[in-house]
Amino acid sequence: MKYFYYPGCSLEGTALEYNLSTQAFMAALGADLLEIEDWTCCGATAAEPTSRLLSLALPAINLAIAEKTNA
Amino acid sequence: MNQVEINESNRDAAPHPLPDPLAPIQDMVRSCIQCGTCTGSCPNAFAMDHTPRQLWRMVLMEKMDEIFQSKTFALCSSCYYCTLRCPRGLPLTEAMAALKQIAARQGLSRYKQSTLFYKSFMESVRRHGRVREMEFMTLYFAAMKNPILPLRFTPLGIKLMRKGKVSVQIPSKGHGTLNTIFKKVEELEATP
Repeated sequence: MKYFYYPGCSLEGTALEYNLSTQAFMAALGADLLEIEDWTCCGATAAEPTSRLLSLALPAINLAIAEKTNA
Repeated sequence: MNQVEINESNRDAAPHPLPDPLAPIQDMVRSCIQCGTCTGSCPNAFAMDHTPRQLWRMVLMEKMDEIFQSKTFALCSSCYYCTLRCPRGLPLTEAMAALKQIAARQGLSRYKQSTLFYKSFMESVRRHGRVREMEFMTLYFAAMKNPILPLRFTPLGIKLMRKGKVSVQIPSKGHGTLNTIFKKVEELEATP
């Protein structure tokens, strides 16, 4: 089974190990993880104090990319 | 009789004009039953001067001054535990964020540190589509204009670098700015 996913900014930096363990875990379950092409930051805890609309729009970009991707 | 009713409803409509920004937040917590599940679930409650439960009461009682002297909402780290557990299903994390938005919009000096922290984060996201932690912290230090501040973060920075958790190019793949979406959001929010 194939799953789209994006690790997020932290999982490429300070929380690197979560990405590694997620990948290992999903592989053990026999799930294919496909990283969304050119994914965007989800806004984390910083977007909502700035703007509620932006906090929804940022992760929506990733859903839109996943929807458009053929896999 | 009709005349009386109109007068009555007028009096109800504007006894004290509501502090405008607080009204939508009051709507979010209107049916709070003060059970305190939010407080009991909050991992940061120990550091807050008012518990989340008390804050919702203050919101409903329009205690503008006390709310915006409190550090309670600024200490919310958006873990969503309170939202998840609230027996009334209230959007409590969203309410915390809405209070942060008021503090940011009004430029309240008490919350300058967290406002600038979030702003610096979002500026890095706007530029690259993803946050670059080194750039984000540099922007934050520059905005805070406090030469001691970077020094306070140095031990942590060194620790993270030693473990390969911070690099100058993190994340390298993110390209293309998010100018368009940031501008569109601003535009939509300017026209209510």
